[in-house]
Amino acid sequence: MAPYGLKRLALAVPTLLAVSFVTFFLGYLAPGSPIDLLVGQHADPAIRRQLEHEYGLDRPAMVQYADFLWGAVRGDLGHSFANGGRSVTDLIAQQFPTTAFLALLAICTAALLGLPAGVLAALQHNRLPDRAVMTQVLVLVSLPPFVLAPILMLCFSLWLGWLPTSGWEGPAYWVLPTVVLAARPGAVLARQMRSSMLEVLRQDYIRTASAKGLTGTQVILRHALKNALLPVLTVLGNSFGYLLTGSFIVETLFSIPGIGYESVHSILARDYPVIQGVALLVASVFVAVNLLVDLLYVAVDPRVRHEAAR
Amino acid sequence: MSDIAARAMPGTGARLLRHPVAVAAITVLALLLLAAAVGPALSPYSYDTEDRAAILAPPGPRHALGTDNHGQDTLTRLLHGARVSLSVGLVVEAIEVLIGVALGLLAAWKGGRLDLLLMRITDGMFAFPDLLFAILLVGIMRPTTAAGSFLTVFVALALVNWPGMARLVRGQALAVRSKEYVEAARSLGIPDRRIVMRHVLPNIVSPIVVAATVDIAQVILAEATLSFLGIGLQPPYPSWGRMISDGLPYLRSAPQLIIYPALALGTVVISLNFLGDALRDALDPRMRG
Repeated sequence: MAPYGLKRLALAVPTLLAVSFVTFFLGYLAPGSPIDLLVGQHADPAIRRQLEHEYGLDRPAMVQYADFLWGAVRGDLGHSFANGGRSVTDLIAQQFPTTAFLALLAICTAALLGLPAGVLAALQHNRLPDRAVMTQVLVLVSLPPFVLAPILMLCFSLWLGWLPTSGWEGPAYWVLPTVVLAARPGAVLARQMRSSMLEVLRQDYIRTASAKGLTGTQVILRHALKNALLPVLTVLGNSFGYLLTGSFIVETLFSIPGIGYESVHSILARDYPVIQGVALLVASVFVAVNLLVDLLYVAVDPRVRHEAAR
Repeated sequence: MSDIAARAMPGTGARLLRHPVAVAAITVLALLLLAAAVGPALSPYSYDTEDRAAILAPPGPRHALGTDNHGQDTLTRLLHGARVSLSVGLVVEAIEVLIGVALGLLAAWKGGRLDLLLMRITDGMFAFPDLLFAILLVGIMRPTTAAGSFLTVFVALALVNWPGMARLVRGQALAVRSKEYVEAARSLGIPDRRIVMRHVLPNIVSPIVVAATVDIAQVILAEATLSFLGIGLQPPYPSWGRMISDGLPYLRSAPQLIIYPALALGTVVISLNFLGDALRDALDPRMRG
């Protein structure tokens, strides 16, 4: 277990290096100088050179990259070109908790609705509940947050007046963003739960369990569900990628002061240090979550554990 | 390709036509394609004609679906938006399939270092959320001209999407490679190229077609997302995603500004996803869950 964990952790390093390399050089090669943002395009060339020197932008690209990387390792992601030159780390530290909280709410909602729906569909295979769930899944997978959100806002905020349209001031404000963000992961989880449950129900040990006289509920809870949940873990890990990207859109839609909202502003304003910092953070979170899922897999499934030990 | 497809899937058309959902989806998509092709020419307005006398007009005789805050005709813009969505979806998917099939087949057939390299690259791409990568690419390279923004969106989406297809093709090709009929063809001394084109490719067309159909929906959603965020297609050319974000401030006073593009986008994506599902059933009856 421990050596396997270390091996997986070591494999995450090149991934993060690659992400940092790509995000840095995309920013480096992008058209338009960041100096333009500070002083405008027609500033005195002497002032421009002065500023370039101050920000270290006149150094060779590889030196700048090494500097960026060394800073990132120490938790220093540079300074925003906007926001009065605030430190990017500060900015992220202030806004990430909101995004993480929203993502957590969404993934819990998705799991609480999606998993039972998937189990129900599998148990009622090819009957009405199954078809209803699968149709629902296809519809929810097809509707992006920026289609779902305005529809829900119209119904629940403007017509019924039950929930606020935007802001982040208390539980009532959490409902719509959570539902919008949870829709797709919930649908994907339901689909995976259904197919993995169907797969397990075909296995010999399920027939054995029924044959030895266990009740249907016992077979499902103790034998089928436990085994069927394993592949779902992977999907759960992958959903985090969606949740982080989805937060860009959901936070913009509902004016939620999180990292997604900030990122969209930074992208529109070409505030590269913030974009690079967020990209690195998102990649780290994504890699960490998938690593956690892999380790969890090993911990829960003895078959994988033996495979990993070899 | 269509020749290969026809030989690989006898009876698929008939099976598909017995599927009511598939027929509905195909009809909707065909109508949309037609609307996108001829609709803009039939409209009395251009996508950027500003009718100053009708700002934020509700649906009426002059503007069937009303106008936006610039007095631009919503129906006309929707039709142009259909062109954007469908062409981005089809072109990006075509590029993706070309790259994916070529690299996937090559990796499966040649194996060795090439295969290893492909797997490492795709692993790396999978380690980062797709759409976020596209957002970063487009956001950082953000061109200022309309044509430039079109091109950037195509390139970014194709770049982000091909690894999934390559992995799928490689996996399927590897499975077919060890089949007896491929073995037989090899022992007869048939050249590799011919084996791959005539024996391997036709046998893996079904999963490719299904994946591509569902992928088109994803690509269309991705373009709409980029445009919604303001980094996709640049105005004045309309995109459904952009129309939705432009309509947000008027959610209370003119909800139709959002409802129509949202409906259009939802309809296309849902149709493609249902079609993909039906195709899976029709192409491979054994897969019926």
